[in-house]
Amino acid sequence: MASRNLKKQSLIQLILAVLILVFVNIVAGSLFTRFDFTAEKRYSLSTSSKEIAGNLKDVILFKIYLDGDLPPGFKRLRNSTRELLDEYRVYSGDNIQYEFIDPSANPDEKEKINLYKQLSEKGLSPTNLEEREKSGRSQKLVFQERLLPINRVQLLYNYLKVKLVQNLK
Amino acid sequence: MFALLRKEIDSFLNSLIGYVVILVFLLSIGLFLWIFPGTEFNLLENGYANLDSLFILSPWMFLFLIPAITMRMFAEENKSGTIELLLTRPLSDLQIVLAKYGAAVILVLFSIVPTFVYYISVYKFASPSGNIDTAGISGSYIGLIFLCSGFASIGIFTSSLTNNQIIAFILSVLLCFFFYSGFDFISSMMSTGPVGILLSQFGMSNHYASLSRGVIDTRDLVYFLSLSSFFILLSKFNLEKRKW
Repeated sequence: MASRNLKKQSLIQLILAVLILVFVNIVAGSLFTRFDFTAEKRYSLSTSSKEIAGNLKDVILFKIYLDGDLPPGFKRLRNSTRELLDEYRVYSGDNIQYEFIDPSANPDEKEKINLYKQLSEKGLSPTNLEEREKSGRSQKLVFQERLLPINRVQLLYNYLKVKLVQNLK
Repeated sequence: MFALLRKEIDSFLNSLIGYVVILVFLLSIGLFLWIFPGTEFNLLENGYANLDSLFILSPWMFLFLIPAITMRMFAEENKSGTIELLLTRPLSDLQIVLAKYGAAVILVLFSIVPTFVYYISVYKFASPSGNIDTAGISGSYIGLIFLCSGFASIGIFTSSLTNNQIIAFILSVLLCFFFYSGFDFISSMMSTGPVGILLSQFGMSNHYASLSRGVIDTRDLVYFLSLSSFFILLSKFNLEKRKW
């Protein structure tokens, strides 16, 4: 009899503790602060940006055509873009979503060219990235544009200047 | 309680496994960061004065190494029967679990501390020398320690389940992996609806992502502390089973 009581007691303790943990996490979810330790406050958004992100009524999907086998400089660009979007997502309550797309990932040549065509019809022209490597030279098509469909409205934004490509060489 | 904690650390450092774990961690991290060419982790090739690669790679190393540290903590005592001696001590079950957990976290710190050498190297290599984001890196270290304490609590729990160290090790690698990125996989299989987002919130990598960049979010800290307490309580529950 005593052992059954003990079993009950430890079970109740465990369930109570789990409930408390869940409750604490829910409370923490609404009351939170972020401390940006980086020297330049790289991952902090301005108050107005936070407000804009917080007041979003609908989901915004960012499609970023920058992925795949990239040189280190572009990988860094991709990562920091992702980090910035993550920051926005935190304050938008998940109203900001993003996906990174590798335009040249499709193994089917026809479909790949189709995608290129679609993108350039929308006004996204590829940047031909030439890079010197140890093994010689390689050429890559890089689409550095983002599509921002808002309420079925798509905004295009090219955020790579050709000059930057030249500098990266 | 502190005597037990000291005993755990001593027995770990008196055995070969302690040094093997620390050595394997430092060797593999060092190779990735400084030697292996053509990976995105190579600090010298990337040419940026930061330690991002360290904080991306470390979780994957610790995924295997922390279970190796924690696997014997309860499993060996269960097998050799010394758990009986331990339980007759004037310590509560919670204190025993906490002492073992504390010892595991301290041992992990032993293997993190030598990576300060990498920080000093990057600090010297930076141009001009010292042009490195010290505050950001210290924030990332805090994040890594929280992640490791989460792994340690999982390891302690699986060790308390069995009297076989190998089973404890495999179970805890599996569980650590599941908690680190398993939830992400599940949520990406599901639609991007609210359920998927909620599920990815249970995963560690989601919470570690911003911590590893040096952005300390109170929600992430609360998550890791709750995760640790959850598994510590489960281990305590496991110990209490003997009384039933």
